[in-house]
Amino acid sequence: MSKKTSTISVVFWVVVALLALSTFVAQYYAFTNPVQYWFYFGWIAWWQMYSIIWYSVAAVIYVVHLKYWRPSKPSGGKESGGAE
Amino acid sequence: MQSDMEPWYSGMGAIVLALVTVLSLILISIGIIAYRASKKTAHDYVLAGGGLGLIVYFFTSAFTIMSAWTFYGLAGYVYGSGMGIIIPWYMFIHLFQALLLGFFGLKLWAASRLYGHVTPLTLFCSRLGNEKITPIFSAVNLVFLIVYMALQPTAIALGLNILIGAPFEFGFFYGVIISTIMIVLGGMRSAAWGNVIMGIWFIIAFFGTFAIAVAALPGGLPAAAQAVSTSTPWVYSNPDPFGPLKLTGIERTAYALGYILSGFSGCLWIHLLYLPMTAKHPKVLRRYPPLQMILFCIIFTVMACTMGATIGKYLPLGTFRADQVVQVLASTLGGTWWGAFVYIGAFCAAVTTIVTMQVAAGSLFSIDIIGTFKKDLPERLRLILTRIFLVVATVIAAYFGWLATFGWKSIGLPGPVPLADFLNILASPGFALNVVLLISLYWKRATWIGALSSFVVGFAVLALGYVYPPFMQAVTGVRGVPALVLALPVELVVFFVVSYLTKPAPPDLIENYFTKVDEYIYQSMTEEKEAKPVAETKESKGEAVTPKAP
Repeated sequence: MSKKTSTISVVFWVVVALLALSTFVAQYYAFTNPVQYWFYFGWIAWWQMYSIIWYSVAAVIYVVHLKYWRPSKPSGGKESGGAE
Repeated sequence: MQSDMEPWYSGMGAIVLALVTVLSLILISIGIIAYRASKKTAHDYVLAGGGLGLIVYFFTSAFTIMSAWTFYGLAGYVYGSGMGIIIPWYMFIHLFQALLLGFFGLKLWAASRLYGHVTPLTLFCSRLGNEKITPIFSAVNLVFLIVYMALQPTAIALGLNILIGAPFEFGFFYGVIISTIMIVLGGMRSAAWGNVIMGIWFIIAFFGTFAIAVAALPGGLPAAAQAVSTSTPWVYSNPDPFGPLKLTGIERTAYALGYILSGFSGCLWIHLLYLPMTAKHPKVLRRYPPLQMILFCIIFTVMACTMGATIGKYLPLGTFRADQVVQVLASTLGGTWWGAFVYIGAFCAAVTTIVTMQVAAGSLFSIDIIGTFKKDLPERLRLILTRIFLVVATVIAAYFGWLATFGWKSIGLPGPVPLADFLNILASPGFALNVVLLISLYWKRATWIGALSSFVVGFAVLALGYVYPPFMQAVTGVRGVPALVLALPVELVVFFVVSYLTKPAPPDLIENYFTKVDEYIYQSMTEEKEAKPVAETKESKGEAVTPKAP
């Protein structure tokens, strides 16, 4: 795996892990605390804005991975290559 | 809404019936065309010949995920219970579903192409080196799949009853019959093509209702949001989801963990595991996730949540059940025709989800169970059995759904089972048990004994938690813990420990499912780019171009 591909893979999975973790933290927060009634652009509630940012980050990281990640040629017996 | 004085099949009922008839004719036509286009093989019937391009794959996957729950249920949930609990829950599901359909699915796709597997379970068990265990995984998945299938006709029946007062029997069996005719004829190919038509109808109905509702707000969305934040501010916050349970401290943590884990299982729904195997190229899979994230952000977060919280609460719409909010907005603000059109959108949402499940159910029986015992089954007989069993599974699911929601008194239930419980509480935790199978595609040390024993133990813990709820509190000492919170870690521990303690898979098996599969993915993803100039050169010279594998 080239250094660039490897770096993109690491960044991708770190961001995915953070996205997953953030949903658990958000869920736990939702079970334990009230949220202030903040609005953005006059009508988008706090939870919706959090969700829009979350989906946007997810979409961007998928696009970056799609654009810059390339599969490396698997070498015999080593666990590597297209399927990550 | 229909007047009490008119019969249900007049007025708006007649319009709905006309539109349902038009859609039904379209779907049956698709089934006939798909039947004629098919190669009459199990691979073609179950996986649409593995030839779906990006657009069809996108519609098939996205609208298999988005069911009647998305169309009616989410806005209704937000209207009745606020945004706080549900938003992180569905985001978690979508993250893992996108990973399956765009990343983890690559290995499913490649192994299916290389070795001709028609179902994901035969693929997993072949990788584990023991195909005789396939029926065990299949039988368990079939049970949970039938439970989830039961939700869809129930939603159609409720929607039609609420909208035009049609008897439950009518809506319940009509949707099932139409989807079954289409699938029996054309299999996964007709499901895929049907999902494109019905997905477009879904999008027009949902986006249109949102636009009509926003246009009806006197001061626009900001004025409505400010008014609702004064009158019912809790819709933007986190209402106590525990009700009479009154959970506190560690109990809340455990409950939250169970909730989020049921979201994780979204990437392990058995019918979704079929979808990566239907794509014609790995690049189709790789391009899917960002499209899903953008569409789901708009439909779930922007439109459904806004219609449920802000618009539904702000406009004086009269009295209705929370689940009706989208339909009431459409019928009240858009008029009779638009209301009928939107109902068909919900009908489409239910049918797009059930059709993929029907194909999966048929093949789980004919290929995974019968095929394991009868390897030399003729192709024609396999197809017939697949079709027969998908009808049987649909009838069982419909009967189960009927008993749980309309005939609950006859089986001694205290009340009808809520729609969401079919998925959240019953089916989704069951699909989570498939995690060991998915891991085995990426972990060389996984053994069939490890996968089988952990799956059986996980299922036993889950089943015990279902049939005897005090079991979970007795084991964990914490109230309100969903069974999956215990079943999943126990399953994973058993899987890793037993796999390490048992003999590793033979080297040729590892070679086939790791090295060769990885090489195949590599070749497939790099070949197209390199092959193109060669193909153009040959074409320009008038020579025949040999299709490249895959």
